[in-house]
Amino acid sequence: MFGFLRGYFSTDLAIDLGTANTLIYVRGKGIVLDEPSVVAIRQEGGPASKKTIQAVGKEAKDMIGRTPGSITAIRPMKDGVIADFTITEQMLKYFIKKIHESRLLTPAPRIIICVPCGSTQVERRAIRESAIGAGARQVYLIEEPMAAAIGADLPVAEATGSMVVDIGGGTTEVGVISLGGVVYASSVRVGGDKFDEAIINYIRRNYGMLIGDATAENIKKEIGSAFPGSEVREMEVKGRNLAEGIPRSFTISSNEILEALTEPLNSIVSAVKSALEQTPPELGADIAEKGMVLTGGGALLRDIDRLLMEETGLPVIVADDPLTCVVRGSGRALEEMDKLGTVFTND
Amino acid sequence: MSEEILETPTEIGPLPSFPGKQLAAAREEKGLSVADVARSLRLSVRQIEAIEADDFDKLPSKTFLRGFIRNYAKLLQLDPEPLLLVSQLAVTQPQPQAISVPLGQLEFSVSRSQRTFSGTRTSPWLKYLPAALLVIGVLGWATFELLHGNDSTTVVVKPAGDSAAMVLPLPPIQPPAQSEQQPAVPTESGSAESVVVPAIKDAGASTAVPATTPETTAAQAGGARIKLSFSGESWIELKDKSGRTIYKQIGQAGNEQIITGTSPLALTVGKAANVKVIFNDKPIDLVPYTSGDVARLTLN
Repeated sequence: MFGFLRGYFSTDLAIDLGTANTLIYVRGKGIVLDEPSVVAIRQEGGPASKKTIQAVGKEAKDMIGRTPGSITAIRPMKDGVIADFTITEQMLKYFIKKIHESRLLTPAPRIIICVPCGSTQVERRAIRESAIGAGARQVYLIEEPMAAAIGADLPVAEATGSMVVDIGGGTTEVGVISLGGVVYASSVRVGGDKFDEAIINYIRRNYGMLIGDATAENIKKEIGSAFPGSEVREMEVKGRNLAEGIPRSFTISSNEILEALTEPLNSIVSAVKSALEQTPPELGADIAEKGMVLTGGGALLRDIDRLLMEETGLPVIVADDPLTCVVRGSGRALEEMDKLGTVFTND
Repeated sequence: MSEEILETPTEIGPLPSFPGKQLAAAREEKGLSVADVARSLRLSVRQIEAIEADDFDKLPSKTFLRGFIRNYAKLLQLDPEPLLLVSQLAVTQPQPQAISVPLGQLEFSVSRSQRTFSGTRTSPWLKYLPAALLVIGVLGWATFELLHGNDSTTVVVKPAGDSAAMVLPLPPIQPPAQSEQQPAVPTESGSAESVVVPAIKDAGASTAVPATTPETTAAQAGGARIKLSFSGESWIELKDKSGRTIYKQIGQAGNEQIITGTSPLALTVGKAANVKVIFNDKPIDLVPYTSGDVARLTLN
């Protein structure tokens, strides 16, 4: 009944609902929210008791791996898609409410959400439904490679091929774009999370030490690299020794991390290579001239551009501010939403 | 990626020069040839020469150019940021690149059945039809209101409760000047307190009040008077002492409203920047009460 009024008092949003981080862009304002996609749930008194949300975002992320029995810190997104529908809906609701401050009417914004290009109809529907459940009036979906390319300011509408590789937390999206549409897109479920996992496994295998997700992420950010460089960096890491069961510290070098990351990096390289194989020759020529653009948090891994350059023999560049490329691109689509309809996916 | 900031004392001079010369100088200092650089950056010799000659027209668009310069600077172990800053000044990007292809101008003749199936392209006239109908409707209504303005300003008398507010609705579009045309209703001074009347600029005319409110006495304990003037569209809700909503409307730019009721009055204003509030002849600053666009305050 008050739909139009609620719409009048709501602002349109573009959301990058990522595995690792959720970013929200508000029309006319820019990026207003950048928080980890983590929810901490408190459940006291048996499995049948009522669940309440303890914390969302940064606060909840600090709780991962440090919770007592009554609290569980959940990452509701996995591999770029929704793993826990209810929690995702609650998280979205919390974020939408957070940016709308206190209002007389519950907000009913129009929302653009990015989806991995490899996601299935069911997964897309889940994302759409959870946004509607969180109060959205209308939901538009945009494929991540398209959003990343717009965010990186590539000439997407021109008759020239642009290749974008978006390495996110859960997925790596490879897309070739020309004339405002996706010519080729593929998605592999390898991303920052897989890097962390590989580091944890490597350390358990070779050092007999157990480390947590947060420590693994720290190692990756500090000394992780994708290509052997001239300098070798070292870092002191603390974990639990499996044999003794006692916390110990040890030193690990960037070369070892490079070895640990080989497997997930190879999956990314082969995804890029197969995209190049599938690209029509004219667009391939454009890409050879200009190169491919890396976006997403994975682009911040040291020398990943160097690795792709060596493997493909093409120029590789890292976009400005790669972490926010996707949400900036969706935001751009939001600003021009009324003028265009072609960049959104139909299902 | 670009954290590798090394000591480059020769590079950052006081005057910014174009990045090409700096890159070429640094390359020669390291004893590298253009071909060496081209090979390690996987670019063509032509592109490296264009970068060094600051000939940006021969290179791809801004994003790629920035990437190339950054990669080149990284290869020569320079700090890419000052170079990128200079190149940004050099490259003129008149407007942001379009992100969608404009719709085709020529109609592709498709049989009717197929067209309804695809249903993607509608005639531009059809698209604007609802808006046009709405405009015509509003205009017609406004004309009707103007012509029959005298009849339409009916006075609605609510049963006199404890605050006994009376509402005298006016079409929100009607500009304030028009209200002077209203006939002077027989007055009975003193009953002005609990009546909502359209604000009239002329001070003498503001006493013109319908005589139909003998039961509402002026001597109400908490009688308060609010004047709202709108500089843009805004949504107003006003509740009186008993929590009853006495006024709820969307005001248009240029309108003025005077509302009276029993204080304390709870006032909610959407788009607070567009509204000036005068409470008992005292202007109220809405800014301290505003959160987001909405101001909430209690007037006492």
